[in-house]
Amino acid sequence: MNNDEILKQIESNDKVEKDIEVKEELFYRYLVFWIGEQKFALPAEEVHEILTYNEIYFVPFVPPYIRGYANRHGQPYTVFDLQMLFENSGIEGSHLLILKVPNDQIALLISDVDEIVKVPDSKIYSLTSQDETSQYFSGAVNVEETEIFVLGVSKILERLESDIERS
Amino acid sequence: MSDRDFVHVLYSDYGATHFLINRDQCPASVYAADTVPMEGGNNYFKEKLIFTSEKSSEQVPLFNLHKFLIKLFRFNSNVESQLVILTPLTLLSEETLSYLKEGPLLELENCRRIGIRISSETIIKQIPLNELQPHSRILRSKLKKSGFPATHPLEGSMGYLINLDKLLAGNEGRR
Repeated sequence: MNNDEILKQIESNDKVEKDIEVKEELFYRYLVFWIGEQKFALPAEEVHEILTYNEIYFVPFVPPYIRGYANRHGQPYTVFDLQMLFENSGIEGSHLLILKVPNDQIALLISDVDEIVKVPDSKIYSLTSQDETSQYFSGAVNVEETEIFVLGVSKILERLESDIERS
Repeated sequence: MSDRDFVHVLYSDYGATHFLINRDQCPASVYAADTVPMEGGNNYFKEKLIFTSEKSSEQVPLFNLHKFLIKLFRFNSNVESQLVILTPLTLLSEETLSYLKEGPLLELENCRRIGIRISSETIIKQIPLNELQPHSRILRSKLKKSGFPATHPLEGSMGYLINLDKLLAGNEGRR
C-alpha cells in the first residue's frame, strides 16, 4: 500500500467516524425528584445543591406556596412548596433543592431525590397541553417510557412576582 | 472593626424567630403598667399612657407591636409585653404621620410621641452589621415596604429587622 492509498484509506475512515459523530445523539443530564406522589425533573445545571432537611422559617406577606425562608450559610433562601402551587395542598418535604438562579436565593421543597438521568435529545419534548399547571413546565422528558415534567423555574418566579405585585 | 460596623438594636426573642429594632428609632423606654383605654384606634392601638407633670400632661398612644407580631407570624406565645419604647413623632415620615393623624391619633392633642409595646423578652444588643442580610430579591420590595427591611439569619432562628415607621404605615398595621 503506497502513501496515497494509505491516505485514501485513513481519510475514508475519518469520514466514516465523522458520519458516526453526526448521527450520535446529544444527551442532557436531568435531576429527577419527587414532590409528593409525582416525579418532576430539572436540568442538572440548574441545581446548585441538595440539602437534607433544613428548618424553614415563616415569612409574612407572601402567597401560601412560599413556605418561608431557609438559612443556608447565613443567607435567606425563599422556599417554594410547588405542590401547594399546583394542587393547593402542602407537602411534608424533607429536602431542599438549592437552585442556580442569577441574583437571587431560591430553593424548592421536595419529598425526595430520585436519580440523575442522561436523556437523549429525542426524548425531550415540549408540552402541547394548555392546562393551568402546564404553564409552569418548560417541557417533558421521557425516562424509561415514563413522562416526567420539567419545571420551568422562570415561569414559577414570574408567578410569584405577579402575586406579590397584586397583593 | 469600627463603630460603623455595628448596629445597636433592641432584640426581641420569639424562639425560632427574633426581631431587631434599630435603637435610633426608639431613644427611650418605660415600663407600661398603668395604661388607659383609647377611643378610636384599631386592633393594635387600643390604649395610651398619660404622663403628667405640674405644668403639663402628655398622652402617648400605644401601638401593640407584640400582639401584631404574634398574629402576623402566627406565634403561640405566652410572653408578656410590659415594655414600651417611646418614639418621637419627629422620627416618623409624613406618610406615617398622615395615617396616624387620620386614625389612632385623631383624638389626641399635644401628642409628641408614640409608644410601642414590645415583648418583655427584649434585650439591648450590639450586632455586627454584616450579620444583617437583605431579603431574597424576589421578596425584597414587598417586605421592605411592609416594615421588615432586612433579615438576621442565625443558626436555629431567623431574625427580621423592623422599620417602625414603615410598619406603622403599612396596611397590616391598620387592621
